[in-house]
Amino acid sequence: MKIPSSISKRLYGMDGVIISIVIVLLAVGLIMVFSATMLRSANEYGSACYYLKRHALFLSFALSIALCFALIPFKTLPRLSIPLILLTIVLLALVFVPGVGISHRGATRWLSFAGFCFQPSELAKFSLPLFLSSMIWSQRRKRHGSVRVFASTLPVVLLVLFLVAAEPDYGTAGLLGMICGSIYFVAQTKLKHIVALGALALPSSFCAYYVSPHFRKRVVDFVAFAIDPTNAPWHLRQAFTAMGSGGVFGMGLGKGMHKHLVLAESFNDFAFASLAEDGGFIAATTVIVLFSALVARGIMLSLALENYFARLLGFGLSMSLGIQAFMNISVVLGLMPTTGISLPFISYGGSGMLANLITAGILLSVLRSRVEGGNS
Amino acid sequence: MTNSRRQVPTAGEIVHYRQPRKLDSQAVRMLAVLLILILIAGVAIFRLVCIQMFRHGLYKSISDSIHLEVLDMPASRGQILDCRFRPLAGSSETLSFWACSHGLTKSEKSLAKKKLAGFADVPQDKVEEAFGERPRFISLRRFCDEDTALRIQRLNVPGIGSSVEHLRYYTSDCASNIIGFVNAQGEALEGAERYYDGLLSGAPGKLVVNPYVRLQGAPLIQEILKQPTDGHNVVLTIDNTIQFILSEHLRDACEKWNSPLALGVIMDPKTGAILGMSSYPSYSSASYGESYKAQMSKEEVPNYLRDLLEPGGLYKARCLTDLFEPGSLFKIFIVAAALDMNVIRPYEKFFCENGSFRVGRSVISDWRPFGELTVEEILIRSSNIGMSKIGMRLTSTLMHQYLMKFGLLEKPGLGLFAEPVPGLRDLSQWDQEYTCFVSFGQGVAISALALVSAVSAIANDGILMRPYILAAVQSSDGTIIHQTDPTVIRRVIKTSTARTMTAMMHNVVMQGGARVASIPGVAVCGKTGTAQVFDHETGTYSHEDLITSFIGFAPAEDPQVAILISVFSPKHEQREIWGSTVAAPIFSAVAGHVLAYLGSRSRPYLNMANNNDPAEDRS
Repeated sequence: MKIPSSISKRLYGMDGVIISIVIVLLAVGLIMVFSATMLRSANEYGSACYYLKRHALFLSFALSIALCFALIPFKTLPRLSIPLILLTIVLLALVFVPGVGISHRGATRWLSFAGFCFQPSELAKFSLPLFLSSMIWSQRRKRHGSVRVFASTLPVVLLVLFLVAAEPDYGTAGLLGMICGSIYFVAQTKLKHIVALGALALPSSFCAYYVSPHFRKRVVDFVAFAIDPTNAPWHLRQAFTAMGSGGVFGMGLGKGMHKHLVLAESFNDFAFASLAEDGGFIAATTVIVLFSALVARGIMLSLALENYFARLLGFGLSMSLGIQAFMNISVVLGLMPTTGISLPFISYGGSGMLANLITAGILLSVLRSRVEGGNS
Repeated sequence: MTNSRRQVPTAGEIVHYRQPRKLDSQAVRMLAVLLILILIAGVAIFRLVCIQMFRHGLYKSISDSIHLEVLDMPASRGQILDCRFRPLAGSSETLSFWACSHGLTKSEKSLAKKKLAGFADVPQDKVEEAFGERPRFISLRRFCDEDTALRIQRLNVPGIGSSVEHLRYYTSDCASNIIGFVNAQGEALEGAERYYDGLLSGAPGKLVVNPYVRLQGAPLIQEILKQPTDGHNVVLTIDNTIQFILSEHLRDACEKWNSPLALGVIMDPKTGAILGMSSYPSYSSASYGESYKAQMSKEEVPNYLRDLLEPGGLYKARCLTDLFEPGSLFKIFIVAAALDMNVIRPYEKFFCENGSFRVGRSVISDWRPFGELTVEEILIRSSNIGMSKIGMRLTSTLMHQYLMKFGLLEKPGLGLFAEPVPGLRDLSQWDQEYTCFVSFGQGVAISALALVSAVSAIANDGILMRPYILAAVQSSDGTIIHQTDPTVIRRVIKTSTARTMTAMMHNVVMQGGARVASIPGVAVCGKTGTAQVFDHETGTYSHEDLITSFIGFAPAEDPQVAILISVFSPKHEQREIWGSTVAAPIFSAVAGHVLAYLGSRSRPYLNMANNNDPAEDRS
């Protein structure tokens, strides 16, 4: 079978640096998931590879979906934005339908689909930037000003944020808010509007603070910890113990004991701590540098694009990956309250993996416009 | 906004706006956001430096204290060998099995029970307990031999694990009092095991493991901090064959004479090495618990031996720990001292007062009235009155001085057991009466080892050797790292005095009541002793309980062994109880066997002492 020349062209047009970084991070993720789950897996399922196999299965599935997205011609992307955001909103709304949404630990965030649990809010991580950039672009094309830009996009954004926050999932809501905020900021809206938008975030945070005891506890814990570092909440103390005992060179793969026994969420939300225990400062810093490089590469390449929509979308998707990574790492390092954001490409988990790989895939498609757009 | 361009785009079509090369305001904003992210990355790395470098030690210690345990790796305990390097006690590596049902599922438990059901090597009640409803950690079976261990391992039962344990075994039952024992917890409790524990036990190794994180039963981390050092082998001067001969005869004696206690010491007089040291009743190191219980069930023993029934009384090496009145055998030391100081001559005659002699408030009597006796005859006939006169001639000061030189006033100092200080009066309290008593061995309490050591000095031409039982220390690879050289303590008597004494003691055996101590073809020197037991409750000497002893050495011309045999409270319906009747035949048998075993060839012994006509005598 011969690959059509248009597809092969699209394949070759993808940015090698981003692909390499993502593959390295995925490999690190595979290793860490195995290292952190082998004991649990052996104890629960009699085989050390249970979680690893599942992770690899998700990964290959997500990779193939992401490849499809990466192969979508850039020109088609704006047309996808409206259906995708509608799908996101519908799925987010479906979560609240009794019997369809799945509750876990007091939060209704999941949909069950063909035996797999799916988290619709993950979808928003790329559908929202896509929607936002295409809407802003169309507004800008009509030479509309800041106010019109906000007026046409903000209701949808706020609806998505509200649906996510109502699950409740304040972490993801915050994440999406930050992604949207950064896109608005880069979309050359007036700064005072951005400030006003930021001011809007404050009362909603207060709202969340009073509505959710869970959120309140996390904030109070964090403030107590920020004032007095000896006051660290339990899970953070365990993360510090794990990371600290790793030292510069780490305990060796699979040999970090704290992640096996004490550290909670050692293979999803706190995978970074497991990594820092096994691989030490060197591995942890490498991962931070890789994420920085990924975001920098995405933003720098977007900068060079001439298409306004592509620029905005490339930036928005890079930020989606970057903010997730740094939110997760900041939580593990005790720099911000616990959010429940997992580490892209590394943490165990199906829908997160799928969403982030699709994000990367769309990013690759956008950045390819450099090549594609030249002759369009 | 840079799109200050023309070109109205059609809907849905992608239009590329040409950007000026210089950074536009949008690019500046994007770079600003990127800068913020890079800054956050920098803060995160700085935070990592703080946690992983500056506070690494703190967190590592916290983590280690939670996850790691330092375990001892058992060192193999050294052997106890006899002087011919035959093992008396040794250690073998065995497997001990335990069962842990924590974290086992119900089906695993029932599988384990099914596999172990009817399995003879493991007690069934323990299996039931281990794999019952509640999770347990119990010891299934300790110290399995290789075959059993293999059988249990082959079953491949879930939840069963094993660990290496060293099992102490004992090959010699007759030396138990010297060897002592190690209990099931590996603590050395008695005897050489306890005294040489520092040499035997070695140093356990240190192993760091994380006991809680296990993958398929094996800990993830297992690091040997220190290899175990196996214990040294301790080589004793004891000869197991000699020890066996001695203890067999002591047992026979106890049975024949219905005695609650008999003890014997065999020493090489030229070196001070203890070749055998035994007492009966004894026990078996291998089953010290049962021996003790068996002993407890025995009938009454005389008052003065009450501690035989006390806990631990069985485990003592009584030749070291027990002091007793030596009786007449003590006379040889007094005569040796008097001869050495030239206060008497060998053929000088003493009038023995026809059997009754008053000294101070006491009347000293002989077992039979004697008239005039030479010094040698005093020994042969064992006259107390004659000895009293020799003792008074010697004076208390010199007597004390010589007893000191013979080492009879100090502990032999083997260390194996707590040795008591010999019981004698302080010199300032020696009156004439006491001097007389001492001269025939009354009012003194000496340990068997001290007596043999002192008689060895006579056998060894007057030179007292330090008694010792540790011949050598051998490292686990077989090299000798320490060897005990025989040590001269001091010259006690002149060589000529020692020779004269040897001749006299030979005549005691040849002509006295102790003829039964002689061995055909071997010149034996010796002296009997029959002591009454002082009853501390009534303050008088008992007529019921006697301590019959025989001390001697052989062959006279080249002494190989010095032996003391003591039988406590012998009882016999037909026979009279004397040192000559009870202890002397045992001496003869033991010495005869031992000399034959040692391959000693006797040369003709020319006795220079005068030959008195043999009178029927007892002592």
